[in-house]
Amino acid sequence: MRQLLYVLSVVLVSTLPAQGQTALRKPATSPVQVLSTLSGASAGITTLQTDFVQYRHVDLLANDIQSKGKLVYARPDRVRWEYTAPYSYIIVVDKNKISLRNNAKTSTINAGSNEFFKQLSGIIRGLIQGDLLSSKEFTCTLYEEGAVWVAALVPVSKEMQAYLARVELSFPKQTNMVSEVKMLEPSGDFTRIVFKNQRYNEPVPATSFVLK
Amino acid sequence: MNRCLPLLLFLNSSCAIAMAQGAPAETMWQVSWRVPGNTLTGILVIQQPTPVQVRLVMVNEFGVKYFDARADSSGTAFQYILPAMDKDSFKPILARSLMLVAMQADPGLQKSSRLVEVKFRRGLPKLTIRKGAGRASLFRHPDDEVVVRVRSFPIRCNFDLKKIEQHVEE
Repeated sequence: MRQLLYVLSVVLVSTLPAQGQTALRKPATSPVQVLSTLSGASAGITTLQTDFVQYRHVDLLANDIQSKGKLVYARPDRVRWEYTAPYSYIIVVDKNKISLRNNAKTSTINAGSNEFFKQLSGIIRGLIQGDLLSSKEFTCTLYEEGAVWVAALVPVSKEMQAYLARVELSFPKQTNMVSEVKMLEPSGDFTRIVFKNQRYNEPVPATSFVLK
Repeated sequence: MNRCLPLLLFLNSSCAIAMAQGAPAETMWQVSWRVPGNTLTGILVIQQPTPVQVRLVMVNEFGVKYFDARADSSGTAFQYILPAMDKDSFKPILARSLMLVAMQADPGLQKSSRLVEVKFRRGLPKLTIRKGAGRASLFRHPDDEVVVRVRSFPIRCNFDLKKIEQHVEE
């Protein structure tokens, strides 16, 4: 019997794919202090320019759907979210006006008339300004994962829970600025956005928020 | 023990074969879907998990999943559809459009289905499903572009697909 168990364990271990080591996630020991640090770091942001890579994971698909682009933000309410590959798609939020460009076709809508884009611009602003961490729409739990703080936000409303299980925001301890966003659905599918080459508080040309 | 060993070795080799065979083939398409009063855009992934079955998953640019459907010779079944799109007036038209897209991806499915009529226009295939009062046609163009036109009174919609690269250089 012991021989059988030994052979079985060798067989099972040999069929497992090799996996990279990841830092252990543990609850933050002083969450109030960490929250204050993260909120304080975000409060000083007036502008942000960053590249991003988006990974859309759908169960049983062999490859994540990948796209990349650029994000430009100017406090308090101007956002340019631009996909550059594998397709071109731009959304510009300038106060209450939302402009979209898809395949050289530009259209403008009122933020108040479209719930999806209204929520989207609110989430982007909340991410950068750190408002999401203290939002009443989510319960926030802070974790420490090696050199990164992870804020896990669980929606309060049942309606939102139906399509969003939780949002995870990663903040490297070195900068205390959000570097990665992961939105997990109840099915296990998720969207992960990784920010790269962030530049904070540099002048942003006004033309960034104009789509002609 | 001696009786168990061949079984364990068989299980081990089966796992190895499954890994070596790899994942099912997938292609990625940029989609523009014009329905009366609205245009939906996003990415469609076409996967062939088994012969004569095609899986179609569409997400918008921000990653919101519109639907996850499977098409085989008996028709199109939705494993998931966004609640806002789950309408009786709309779902059959979507199902029919996806059936045509699946058929152009899998000629085996085209042959096994009795619903479709295949003609050639200027040397390019045109697939048509005629059922009831409506008609859905698919035109395949060079440069990996596909157009599905649905004319099902009172709804007319166009489903334009353009093949795109799956991997993005980071």
